[in-house]
Amino acid sequence: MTIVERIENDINSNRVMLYMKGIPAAPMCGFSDTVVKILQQLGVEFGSANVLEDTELREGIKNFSDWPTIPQLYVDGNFIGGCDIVVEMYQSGELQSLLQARDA
Amino acid sequence: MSDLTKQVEEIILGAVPNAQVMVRDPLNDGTHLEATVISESFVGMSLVNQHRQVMQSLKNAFSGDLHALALKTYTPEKWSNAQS
Repeated sequence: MTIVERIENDINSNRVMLYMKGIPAAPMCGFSDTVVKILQQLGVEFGSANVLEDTELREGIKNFSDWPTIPQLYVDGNFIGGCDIVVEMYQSGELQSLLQARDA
Repeated sequence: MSDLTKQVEEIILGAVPNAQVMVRDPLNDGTHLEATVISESFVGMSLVNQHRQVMQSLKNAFSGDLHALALKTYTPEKWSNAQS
């Protein structure tokens, strides 16, 4: 399975998928921690992958999304953004409506 | 203004047409920077695409000294609303 296939499999089998540094219980970077806290605060179930343990994934995900940093959040298979965008969408309520859109 | 801050400003100016760019180094550590970018070209663009345009232009900087960039992007209209 190529790295792209792996990523596509991840983001299609997890409605909400977070590529991060560390794991939800122990984020290894402030930005990843911020996104984890937001998802947990919203009570959202999400898949996650620790790019620190997988260099191929760490580079592969950046090419896949055309986005040079981690964390990266995906919802319904679409790239949503990094920490700044998730925070801005959370503050505007856009993230909540995006996540509810499919639950209803 | 540190070299990296100046370099990041120039890279963003080169990547985003008719942009007003402000780059700061709040922690004075030369690796965690903040940038505000205002441009007419963002009109009609989704937030993630506005950010992607800026972030991708810094791809090499991110594999170098730049560890993180807290980014805010605005259309001129959104910026003036934010100021009022």
